[in-house]
Amino acid sequence: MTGDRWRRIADQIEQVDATQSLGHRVCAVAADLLSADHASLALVVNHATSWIEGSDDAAIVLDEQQFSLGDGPSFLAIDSLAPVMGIDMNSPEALRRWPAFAPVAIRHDAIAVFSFPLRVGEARLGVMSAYRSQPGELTAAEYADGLVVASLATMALLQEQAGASPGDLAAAFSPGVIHQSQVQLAAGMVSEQLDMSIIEALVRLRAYAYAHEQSVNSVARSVISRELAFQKEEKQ
Amino acid sequence: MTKSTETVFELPDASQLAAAFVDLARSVNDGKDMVEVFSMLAERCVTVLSVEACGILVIDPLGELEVIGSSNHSAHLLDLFQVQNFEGPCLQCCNTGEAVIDTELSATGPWPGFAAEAREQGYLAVYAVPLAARGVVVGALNLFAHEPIRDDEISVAQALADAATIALLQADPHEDAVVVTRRLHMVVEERNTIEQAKGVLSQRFSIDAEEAFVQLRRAGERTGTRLVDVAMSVVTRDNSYDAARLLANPID
Repeated sequence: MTGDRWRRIADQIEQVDATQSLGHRVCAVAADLLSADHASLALVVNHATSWIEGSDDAAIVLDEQQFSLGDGPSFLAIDSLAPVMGIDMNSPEALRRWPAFAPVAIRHDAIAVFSFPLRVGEARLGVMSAYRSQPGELTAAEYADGLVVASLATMALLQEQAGASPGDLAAAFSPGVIHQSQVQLAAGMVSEQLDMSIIEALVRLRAYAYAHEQSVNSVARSVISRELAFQKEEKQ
Repeated sequence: MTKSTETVFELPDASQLAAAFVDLARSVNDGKDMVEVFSMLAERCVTVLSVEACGILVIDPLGELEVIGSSNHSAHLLDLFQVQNFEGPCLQCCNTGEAVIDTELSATGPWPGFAAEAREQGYLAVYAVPLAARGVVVGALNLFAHEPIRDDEISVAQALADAATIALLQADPHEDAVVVTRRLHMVVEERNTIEQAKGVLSQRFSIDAEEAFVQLRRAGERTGTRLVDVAMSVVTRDNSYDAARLLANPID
């Protein structure tokens, strides 16, 4: 029982054409699982995006519109740290909430927009969006799948920043990485050791694991037992 | 804590039991985060039942078991052992939705590795009762004891588990599967934030994770801040929070 859901979705991501970028592969699976016309991933710092990937050009355009207008459900997902469900962009509520973005979304035929934060605890990486041309809510299964794809995307993005090759998803999606609590504890320690953000600490843990051919979980255990400490001088 | 031999043969003290339920209800109404509620529940189980340790796990939306609250480090480790080794009464309980009782912890039983680990830590009886709502199992409450407990105590544990599930899901008749999933996701992410903060403090003060958790709680109590907000302010070094400033130094 346990693990079935993420394993199934991880397999699906790994099966998408490996010549495509990691972001594109995740977006393609997100669009499929959420019955969406377009899906996207955006890395976000202080409400500005540094990187957007989409299942197609329309997904990227819709994300770019949100971030250039500074308006849209992505911001609500990022600030509330909770998924935002597909309010009908034609509704008065949507127009009140997103006066700048709602008309743009309608013009691009994105009537229901779903936004899932990309996060692990306080490591907030950005947002995953799914755009549908038809109004309506996600089913419970689609909602759960959305959370799982967002979690897997978060792990894959951390892994990619740690220098792993984009094709090497097996390392990002191993059970040792899925079980989070020790990794998060160790990341907190590393962030204090190196005086860096929790995101950077999570990346450093993965980079160390990758360079030393260990699992992230086993590196985390070494940090917690204080057999391994990261030194500031190590920083290049 | 110490227990007299008599208490083993008595029902849990009614006032203690009532206090446990009141605590749960009040902490939810106070807007306490779920990790704090479950940590309190785990500690309460040890007070009202003749068990030495208690741990609580939930199944997150990824389909993985996640440790959310423990009465002490030993319970936490035994829970993690089950998760990481894919064996133990908790997994069976989550798979079947039925309470699991193991008073033998046999090397030839269904979970030999876990049994050895539990015996190593001095436990001779282990119980897992489901956290379930409307037929859906969302986790389990694990009890670890030096000697077998009575059936009526298991019933008390199940009642506490039910109360915890209601707290987790803030159950009302209209709640649907999406709400359940969202709550489970939130509680695991709150747990992640708290683990990150425990890591920061355990490094800052050269203390272990258990002591770091005590520091987080003290900062929350002194400043009237929710545990998860204390943790967030520690991880992000946000000194606009009194709790984060307070935790520049260890709190006695």
